[in-house]
Amino acid sequence: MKKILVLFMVFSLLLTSAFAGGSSESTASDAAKEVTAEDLAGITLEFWHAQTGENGVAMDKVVALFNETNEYGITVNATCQGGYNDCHNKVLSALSAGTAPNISQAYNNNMMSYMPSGKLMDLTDYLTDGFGITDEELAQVVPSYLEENKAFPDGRTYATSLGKSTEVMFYNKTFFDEHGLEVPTTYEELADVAKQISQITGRPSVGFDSMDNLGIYGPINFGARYADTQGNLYIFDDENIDATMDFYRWWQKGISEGYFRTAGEDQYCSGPFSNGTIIAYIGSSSGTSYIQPDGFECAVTYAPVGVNPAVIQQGGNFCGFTTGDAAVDLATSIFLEYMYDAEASGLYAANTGYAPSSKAGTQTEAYRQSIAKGGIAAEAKDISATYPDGVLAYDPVFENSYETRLALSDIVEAIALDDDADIDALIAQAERTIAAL
Amino acid sequence: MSQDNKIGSPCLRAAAFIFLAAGSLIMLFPFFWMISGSLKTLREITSPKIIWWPAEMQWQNYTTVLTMETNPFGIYFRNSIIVAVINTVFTLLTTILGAFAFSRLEFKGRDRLFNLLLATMMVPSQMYIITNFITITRMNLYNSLWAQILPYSASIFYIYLLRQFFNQIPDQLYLASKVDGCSDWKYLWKIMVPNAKSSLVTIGLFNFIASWNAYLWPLMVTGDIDKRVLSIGLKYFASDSGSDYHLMMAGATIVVVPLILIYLIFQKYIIQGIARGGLKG
Repeated sequence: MKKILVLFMVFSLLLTSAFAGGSSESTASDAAKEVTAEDLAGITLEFWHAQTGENGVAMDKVVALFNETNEYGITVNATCQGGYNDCHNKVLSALSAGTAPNISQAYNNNMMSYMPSGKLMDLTDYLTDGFGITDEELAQVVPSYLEENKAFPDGRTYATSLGKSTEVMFYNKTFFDEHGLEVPTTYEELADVAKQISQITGRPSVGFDSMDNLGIYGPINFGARYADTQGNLYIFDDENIDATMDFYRWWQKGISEGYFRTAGEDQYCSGPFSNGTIIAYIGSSSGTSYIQPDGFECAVTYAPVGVNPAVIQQGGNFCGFTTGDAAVDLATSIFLEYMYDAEASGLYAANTGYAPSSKAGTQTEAYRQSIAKGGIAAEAKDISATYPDGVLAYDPVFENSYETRLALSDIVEAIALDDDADIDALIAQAERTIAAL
Repeated sequence: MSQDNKIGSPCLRAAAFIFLAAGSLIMLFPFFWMISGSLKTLREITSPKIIWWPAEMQWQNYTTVLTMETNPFGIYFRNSIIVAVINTVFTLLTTILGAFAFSRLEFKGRDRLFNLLLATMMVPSQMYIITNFITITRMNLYNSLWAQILPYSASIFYIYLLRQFFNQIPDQLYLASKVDGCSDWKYLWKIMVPNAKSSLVTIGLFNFIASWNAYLWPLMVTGDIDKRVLSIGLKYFASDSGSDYHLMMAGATIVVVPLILIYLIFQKYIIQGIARGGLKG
């Protein structure tokens, strides 16, 4: 009798749980459908970002504009959480503690590590739900930004972007003019010009800020394919190895003949460029405030490209975390979509070195005024915003994509440190590292 | 210094002086470089040529750092002092009580418990940062100064150090005080603590510095600027596209001044503490 009673209780419990589950699911789904604009009034969202200094001030302006102008009465409380790594670590801890913010700034590869929590918000359906961004506004977003934000293994959209920097080339215009040098537009021309300058100055003349970027976009510019969102790495396969090797040899030649260099201990090439140690460098368009030319005119131009033009668009994106409250989640999606707003992205771009995520952002008053002021920052930003479609590129996100990036970065770094480095051995080492991930 | 410790030979004395002077210069150089950097322009500080001292001192670097509305150093300073002082007081209290219990009180499993606590020192702090974070948020202490104070208010390392010192105080003293009717509590505060003053000052100082310099934990448990501390404020000058090194150095100088003052004030006790307890920074 006792056993029967226990079995009955277990069965009842299972039945109750099943019904409860089904019931709550249908309630949540119904609630999502039933949320109206009125339900959003008074919702306060927590937003963590990684923008320090002037960029942080610009972010505050964007958030303030949202708080003042959004038609739903949503309030966003934004706080800087240090750098990207700090912000990422904090989000990971907060997800474990169940205290994640509603929105966070992060690189897409970091968002991958939020997925197992089940809290990362899938924005795919929200983008077309009639709240927040309109189809016309969505059509204005830079295509490569939209692509990047759905370059996840399942092809769903998990992020939005407010603005991005790109790589550009800064050069000492005074030096170029004095020596009658042509500004390079291709990798080939870049090597030729760098060699000429180094013959004049007797030291490396062209710097590359980011080995991480060069490790991927170098081979791509030479015609190699990198990887896909399923984690398939193509860069060393039979079809791509020749192009990849061509790039490594090109880089090794530049190092061994003494005309290319890395930022090294200077961390960023803006320092050695400002004081005239190097004559040009390829770096982020957002780093112009750190360029302080010492007695020369600085100019900026599009980053030189190879046979397969690819210039990285860089900068963190924004993701949301679900709460189980349909109204709060909808409010979160509305703020995330606001990142694509012309006024928001134009305002952010106007106050930073980033190009706006919306092409219409370049037509806003704030952005146009910032460009009209002139100067190297405005020029760099404008160049970032005017790369032709198809040139801007991004890394697909897959499991261990960050570690793969580092492994490729190690190859170019190793060549920079040892111009006699055995490229085959370095590739073999990178392949072993990636295979062990 | 006692007569026995004096170096008799003038040559040896001169050699010792030169050696110590060189050591002092090496120790002082980073401070000099920080102060010099804090008075330079960005161009000077990133120059490949060594610029020992700026052509024109940029005092405005300090005004810039101290008057930023978006990075309020005044509030950070206040918070750092509150957190470091309260944390140090709590740590000293728990250390004194813990060390006394493990050195003087007799209870079952005392040594096993102590060894167990000592073993926790082998667990890297990064391992329990998420657990601590969860605890703090469940206690509703997220975004408060208490969240920065409480988790680090007890240290088995400091308890171990003080216990070693307490163990050096002869048992006879304890037994004699017991005969005179002195309670454990009174014995601790009237006999043990005054004797361990220099060790306690050293422990307090080390704890103060650790609390003052803490970065990751205060950042993890705070969301609002008005709850943050100086170390986080320094991060403001670095971004993913470059760093304002001159402002960072000015900020670092401001951050380090209180620590230098404390060193100078408690110098005598620190030297005694190091000499007695074998503590090293």
